[in-house]
Amino acid sequence: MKVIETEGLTKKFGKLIAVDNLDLAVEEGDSFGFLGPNGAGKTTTIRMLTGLLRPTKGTVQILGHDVFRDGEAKKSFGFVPDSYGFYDSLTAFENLQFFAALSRIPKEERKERIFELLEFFGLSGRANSKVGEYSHGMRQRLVIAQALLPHPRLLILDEPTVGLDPRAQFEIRELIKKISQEGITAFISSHLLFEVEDMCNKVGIINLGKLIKVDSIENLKGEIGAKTGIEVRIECEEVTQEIIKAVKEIEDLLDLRVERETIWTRVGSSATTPALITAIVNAGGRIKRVEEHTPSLEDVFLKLTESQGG
Amino acid sequence: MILDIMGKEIKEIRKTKRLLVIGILFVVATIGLAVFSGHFMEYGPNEMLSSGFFVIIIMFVSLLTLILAYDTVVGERNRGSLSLVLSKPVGRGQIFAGKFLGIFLFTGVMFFIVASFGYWLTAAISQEFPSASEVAAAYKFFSAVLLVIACWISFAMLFSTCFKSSVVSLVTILILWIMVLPMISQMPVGIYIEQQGFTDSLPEPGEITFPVWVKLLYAVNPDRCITELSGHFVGFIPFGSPILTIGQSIAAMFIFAGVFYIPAFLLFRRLSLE
Repeated sequence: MKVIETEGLTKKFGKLIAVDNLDLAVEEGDSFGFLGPNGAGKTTTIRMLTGLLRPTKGTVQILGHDVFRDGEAKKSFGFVPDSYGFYDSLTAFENLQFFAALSRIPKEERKERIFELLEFFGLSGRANSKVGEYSHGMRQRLVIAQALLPHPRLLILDEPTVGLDPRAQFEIRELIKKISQEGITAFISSHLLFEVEDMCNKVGIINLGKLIKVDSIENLKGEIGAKTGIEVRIECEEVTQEIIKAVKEIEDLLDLRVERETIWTRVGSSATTPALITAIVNAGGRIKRVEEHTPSLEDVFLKLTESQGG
Repeated sequence: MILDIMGKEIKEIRKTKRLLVIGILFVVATIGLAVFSGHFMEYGPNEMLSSGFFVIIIMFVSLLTLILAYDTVVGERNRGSLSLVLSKPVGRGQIFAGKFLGIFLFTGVMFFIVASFGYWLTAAISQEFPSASEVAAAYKFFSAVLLVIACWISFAMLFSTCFKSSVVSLVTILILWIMVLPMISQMPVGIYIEQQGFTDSLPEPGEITFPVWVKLLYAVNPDRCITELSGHFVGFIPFGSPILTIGQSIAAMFIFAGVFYIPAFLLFRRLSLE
């Protein structure tokens, strides 16, 4: 089932087209990373998905409900904005109580749900502290707790680790992974590639307002690998002319470079690596080390955004 | 839902320092006025209300209201809480009404308590206890002040919705409240009184009839409308002769509140968080 579906979603600010004809579909259970360089249109897209910004053109459906026309849409997702958005003078409990009311959680269930989430996020000991006294990491945990109040089927997170120290970033990533494992679809906007690679199974890459690619991370890596090749570095005791000749005879070889005892090659797929090793051994080579470098999400991102002029 | 939003507004106001400062000033001014009127001037409580000093108390209430309402939308927008609130399954009309009513309830209740305290303190100090009709007149006047509060909340909420900066919202509101509205409302009255030959003294009641254009301009300022009502209910008449009737004053304040509330709400409904 499609949890998020946009059709021709467009947002113009004067002459600037921030989001251009975006057709996006996110399936239930996915952890979807929404990637793009700064100014690509990620936050504008998220604001339209959450009903905060009216599109110039196009529609947004959350679990089959139009986010701008049907109140049901907003009942089914939790939102973690890029700014944490709490009332500093109120306590964590008071803040959650207010957002639980806005999320239409029945009054008799609110308290239990709030304490359940505060416990889950390790904040129950500070429930009655003012949010203004919280650290950045604690606030971010609280804002995610707020998003989970109504038992949402979809969690929309805009740069969830921005401004956090490495420890807090790690904790937030682990929490999001844990939430995803519980079957909640996550839509995560980020420009931190390692973060998306860590948390998501699928990505959509946006650049200059256009969605340029949507696929699983593995498929994208495979696709880029097929285009640019996979780098294989083989360190031998000695590189002889026989070895070089044998390597050159490999069909899938895209590039070859020799530096002292190291052979650098680029091959079409990782399936070629065993053939490469066999050829070297058969030519009398003694291999000390083999390293294979498959494309990372960063390679995919750079390649795709480069070809789009980003 | 509106009650939840009101509750949050009141809780937030209660914990705000700026409220504490203005609230203390308001209480101190009211007690000061009661002591001054009851002890030094030997005024009874209704005389205290009609002395003109009470207008200062109403100014405090207006200022308190404006200061509570000027960033009710823009402040939440800048802090990011508006993004969270608007992403929830709640109608914008409910959010807006909840904010309005939260400030109205808080300021209204506070005014009623403090004004009543000042009124009865004056009575106790002066040992002049009011008759039932005087008490009724005083409380009619206090109730009318609630309308002024509603006017200023609507007024401030419009600018709070229009602007993207709290400071710009506050400065605009204060300039309009302190300078523009008093000028629009009072200058025509002054000019007209002078044109009618009252250069050295104010006209006696019934001695002058103000034309419609003067009345209309005078009525654009809720502070003037409440001053008029003060004249009708407790006898304070700043320009010698009443300019507006009770009905005109009340209608003008309702219109003022509506004129600002409706566009403010429509803007809030269309508000896009870019």
